[in-house]
Amino acid sequence: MSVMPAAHSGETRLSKASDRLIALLPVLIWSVYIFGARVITLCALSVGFCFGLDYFVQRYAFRAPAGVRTDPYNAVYGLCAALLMPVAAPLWAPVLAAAFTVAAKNIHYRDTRRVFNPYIFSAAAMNLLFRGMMTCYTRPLAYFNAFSFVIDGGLIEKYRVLSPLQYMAGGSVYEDGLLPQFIGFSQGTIGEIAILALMLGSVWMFLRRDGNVLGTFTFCALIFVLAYAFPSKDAEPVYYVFGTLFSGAMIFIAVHALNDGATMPMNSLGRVIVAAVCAVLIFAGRKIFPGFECGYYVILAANAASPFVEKLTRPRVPGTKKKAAKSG
Amino acid sequence: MILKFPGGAAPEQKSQYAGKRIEELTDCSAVCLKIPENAEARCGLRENETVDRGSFVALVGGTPVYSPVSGLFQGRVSMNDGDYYVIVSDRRLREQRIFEPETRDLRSLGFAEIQKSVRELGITDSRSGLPLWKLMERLRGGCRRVVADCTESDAVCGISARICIEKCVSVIGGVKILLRATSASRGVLAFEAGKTRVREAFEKHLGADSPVVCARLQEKYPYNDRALMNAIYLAELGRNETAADRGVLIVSAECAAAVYDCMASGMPMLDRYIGFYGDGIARGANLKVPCGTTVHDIAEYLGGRARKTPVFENSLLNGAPAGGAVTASTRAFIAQEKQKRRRTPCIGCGACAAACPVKLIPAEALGGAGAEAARACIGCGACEYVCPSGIPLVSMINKRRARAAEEKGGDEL
Repeated sequence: MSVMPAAHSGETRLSKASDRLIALLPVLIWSVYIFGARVITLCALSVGFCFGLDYFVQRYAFRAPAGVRTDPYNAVYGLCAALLMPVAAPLWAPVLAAAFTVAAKNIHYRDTRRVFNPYIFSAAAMNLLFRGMMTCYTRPLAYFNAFSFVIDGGLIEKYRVLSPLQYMAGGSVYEDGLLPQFIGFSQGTIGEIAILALMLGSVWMFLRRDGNVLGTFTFCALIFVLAYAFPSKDAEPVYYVFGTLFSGAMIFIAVHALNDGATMPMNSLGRVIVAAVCAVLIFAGRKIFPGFECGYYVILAANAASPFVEKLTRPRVPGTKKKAAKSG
Repeated sequence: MILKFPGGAAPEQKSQYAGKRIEELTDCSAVCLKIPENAEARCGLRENETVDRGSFVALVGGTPVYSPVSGLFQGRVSMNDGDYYVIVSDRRLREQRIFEPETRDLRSLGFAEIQKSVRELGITDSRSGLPLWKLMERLRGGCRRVVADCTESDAVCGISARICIEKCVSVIGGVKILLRATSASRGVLAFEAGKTRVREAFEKHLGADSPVVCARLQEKYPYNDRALMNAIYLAELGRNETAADRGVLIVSAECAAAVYDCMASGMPMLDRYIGFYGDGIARGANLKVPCGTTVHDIAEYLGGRARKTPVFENSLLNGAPAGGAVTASTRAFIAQEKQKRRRTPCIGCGACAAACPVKLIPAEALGGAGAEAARACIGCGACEYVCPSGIPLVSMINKRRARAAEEKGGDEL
């Protein structure tokens, strides 16, 4: 019988959370440039309330010991929840999003796996409850007051534009072309527009061995292939392929949501399978319900199915029979 | 080419001791020769009988045990961690020679003769703690390869590297004798890829047509049979399978060197090469000590040990507490405070699954799942070492294993 290790590696929960924050940093910086200081207010509120609410949940609901009431991952989840909002959202929105995030963060399957990705759950709930507000996008470089609790409706309407996904719902592609979309001069939620910044962050993540590069690649490649195989009726195929990939938080999902360890299968094969199924379902969803951001709901379904996928794809323990390995 | 294998934990710290020469410790107050549990032991001495270095002491599990010091035999003594034969040293190092050096041409010796010699000379393998003749016995189905495991038992250690550098000829010679004994076609010297001086030392003595070759391994711990077989031969061992079952004899570098030295000198294996490292000791060193030297004597020789600092045997990864003395399976002592990490919820990073050498998902034990996993766990501790959330995975798997044993009536384990 073994005993416990007397040493531990340098990787801690804090260092892992820091890696995720560093990966999100380029997106945050770019978003502040594109949408102004209001991004900082929204993110700060979301992160702050995530920490505060989670502290209360841990202390009073779970009676967690003093040292583990503050989770550094609240910064990651809070930031992601804010990044999946439009910049014109009122300041109560990140507070409510933080509440959804903390609620999802504390729902576990068999005491170990989280049932839903917290920030995706938050984004999905906010989209369901406040669809009009959450899909109200304004054009880049139109800066709003950072501290206005609610932005005046007239002002929003003045700068309101359709997002690339909303363009595609009409059967065409984003009229400003692909390069602005790739660099991040397009409209959408705060975090989804900066494709280049998201890719830079993903490089850091994969270099730090955080996440599964194969899963992300499978997702993107499959979307690419499907979009090429089933193009929109009057859209130019190559534009449509990249437009599909760059619109509607697709890259954000590929980089961050598919690599959230607590809600995705831990083994590589499981992640690849989940990524592939997500790609197919999201693409099919977009075809069936044009303009509807089904990515969040597909990810939530994938989260719920992950424990079972993990069980089915668990590598066989050497020396055991196949049947026994699956029974676990 | 660096050979890779699945699982294991890549250490962050590098050994500072691979560059330190092996020191010889002869001045010990007493030696305690451990009697393995359930082993039949027939003592050949009376209490308070005077012994010389090299005198026959007992036959333990069919393997002769010799006195590594001259002094007074105290008999069989029970201690906390088992029974020992205790000899109080007179510090005179009187030597008794039982066997004559091997004068026959080694190429003329067969399996049975070499196995008989290594049995009579009491040569044991420090990787497994088993006598070498017993390891050879397992190769009845034939032997294809002989591997000298020149890797360390932990990242902080440096004794195997020193053995390879200072006793390079003996290690290669020992492998060649075992090749002759087993009729295996090729010998392999496996060591960590980062040990460039070990590589240089071996390459200096190995010709292009030598049957012995070098294998540079990825630096990850532990290097057990499974890891070595996977890295060198891409073979996946089963749960209860050993390298010997696949026709591969794996011995430690110390054991290989002992085969050559003992057969050449006619002296049994009386000394062990070990390391004593860690923050809890005044100075760390690579040492040659008589078998059964107490931890206390070694610590005294090295300037003393911090009080209450625990001493671990062989590896911090596994965290096994050291016994009172150097045994057949001792490769290093590490005196270091146990690192503690506050337990936080699982983040599902998958690091434990990546580190597991038997392809388990150790985090499954958190949810009470994974009975099969619990049975297959080899308890290397790699999963808990890499866990960023500080989850006591090893003890959780042990609990799961115990529960599975209860459910199945205990007969399956």
